[in-house]
Amino acid sequence: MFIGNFVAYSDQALPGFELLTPELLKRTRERATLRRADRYTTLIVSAALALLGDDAADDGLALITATAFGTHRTTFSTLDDILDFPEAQILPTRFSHSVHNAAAAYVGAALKMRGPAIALAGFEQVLCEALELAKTFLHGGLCTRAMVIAAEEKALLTEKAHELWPERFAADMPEGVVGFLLSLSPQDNRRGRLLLDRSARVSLSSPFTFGGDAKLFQALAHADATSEHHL
Amino acid sequence: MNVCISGFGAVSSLGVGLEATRQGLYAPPKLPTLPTRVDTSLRLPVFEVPLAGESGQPGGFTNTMLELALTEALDQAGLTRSSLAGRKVGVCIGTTVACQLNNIPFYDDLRSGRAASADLFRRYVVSAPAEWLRRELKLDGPAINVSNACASGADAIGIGALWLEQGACDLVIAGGADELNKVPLDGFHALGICSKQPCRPFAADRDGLNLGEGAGVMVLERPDDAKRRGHCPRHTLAGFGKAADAYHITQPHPDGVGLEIAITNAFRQAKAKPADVAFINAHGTGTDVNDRVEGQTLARLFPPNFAYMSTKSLVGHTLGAAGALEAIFTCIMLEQGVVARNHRCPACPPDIPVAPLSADLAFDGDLALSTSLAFGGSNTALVIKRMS
Repeated sequence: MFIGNFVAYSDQALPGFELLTPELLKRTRERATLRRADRYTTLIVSAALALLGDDAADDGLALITATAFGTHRTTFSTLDDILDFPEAQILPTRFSHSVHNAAAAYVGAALKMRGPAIALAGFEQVLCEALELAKTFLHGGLCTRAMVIAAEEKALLTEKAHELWPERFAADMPEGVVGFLLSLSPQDNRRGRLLLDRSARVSLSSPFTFGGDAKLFQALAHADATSEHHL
Repeated sequence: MNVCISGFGAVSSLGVGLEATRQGLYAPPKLPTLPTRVDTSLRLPVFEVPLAGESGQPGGFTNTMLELALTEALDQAGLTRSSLAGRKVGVCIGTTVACQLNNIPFYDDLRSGRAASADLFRRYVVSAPAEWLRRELKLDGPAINVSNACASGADAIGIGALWLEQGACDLVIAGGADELNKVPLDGFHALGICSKQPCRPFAADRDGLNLGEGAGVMVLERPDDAKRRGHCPRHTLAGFGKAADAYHITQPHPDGVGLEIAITNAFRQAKAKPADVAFINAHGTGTDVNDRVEGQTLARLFPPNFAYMSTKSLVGHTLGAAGALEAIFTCIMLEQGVVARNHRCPACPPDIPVAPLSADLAFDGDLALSTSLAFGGSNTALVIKRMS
């Protein structure tokens, strides 16, 4: 697969990542008219807008989102409603935004994308699985280009995860998003070739989808069409 | 696309296992009842699975149902758990509830600064269904949880078939599972789309859905691989179409644009045309908008008097399991040569040009379509073929 574009934003100064700022999220909200979208969705839409740049989406463009914790701020806001108010009075908007594929719906509406959109959730190499799935979609003719976007938002659950399972979750997990625009066409190649090898993958068990391979993200930030990236 | 459905297993309110499912599809429908395993003050009828279980706990009842369906699917495919070792097996499971930590007492402790249960959190992390199955069965192929709302189960089957076609694995366990849970129950109620009566898909007086629960699992293989081990599958997945509406976070596009693309793509893969299908197992939730958009879109694409129905009047809306269970129901009806009626819709509704089936219908064809429409305008179409 060829990498047409790559973006990475984090609230921490990670190698290869641009800083995730309130201004970036505000710009995304304005550009995509995200009136009600939550933070997780805004992260995903930010990456989608940056990946496509001035290009238009077409029916051959697929979207695969990946996350471990997903939109837990909104999920927990829904639980707040249930705990604090009569059961029949929870806010419908909060509930509908707590669904994992709400972000994909916003990307679709913002970019007028009618290609296949799939939301993945998991704790074991979910970004790698999403990239493999993009490859499957491209080779299977379901799309001609695929966006893969993985995001984690800072929420009570991610803040407490280390306390609850210190061996598995790092303290002070960053918030952010990474996105790939992928294609099989050499004409779309801007950042090099991405080679996936499931059997070689040993160090990506981090549940934090975009923190899994700092070297790759660092290399991609400065890559050109002649680069070769292994994952 | 030509991927064998080598076996399948089902758990729903119709019962546990294929025989109970087969009987339930053609029997007078059971009515939904008030939930017994969900602590709720809402008096909304649901379709519960007739099993004792631990609902609301991460991995609890969802994975119990999933494992029952898997055991049956493997058995039907002539496989054992141990026979999977050493083979490149992929796992693709659709779910909604199992991917979110919806445990209310856990969250109440967490937000209040009390000691939240580390055990419960760890169970949540290790219980994501596909990854859990991969670990349980000691597999090393791909494992993904599809969380695409109500299309998740159908998407999982389509992805599994693509994996096989692309050589990503040699065998796939694909399907969907979801248990009844207070959060979606309250959420769907808040959205104003739950009926207080037994749901009436496509009926003129439809007023919402009933939630359900269940699990459906298929074992998928390439035809040559099945043949090599002497297995004779009875169905193939001939087409998988997937498209988005690009319209709204909860409402389908009023013209069914994404659904039409999904169906068209599925038929292209199947090298078939709408006139070739014996029947359509529609998504048919019983909500005003879904059924109108779906009914009108199907009427536009299919020949006059095409046969369609929804099984949600029998098992409710099982969310992440729905697409998988309905694909399995479609296989059963293809096998029986009889499509089950659409219950509680006595006449053609004014806003849909063609009425769903009001009586069971015997047919001769070997091709059927199963559709799924999800939150976020995510549409999926599966074309399933009965093998001669």
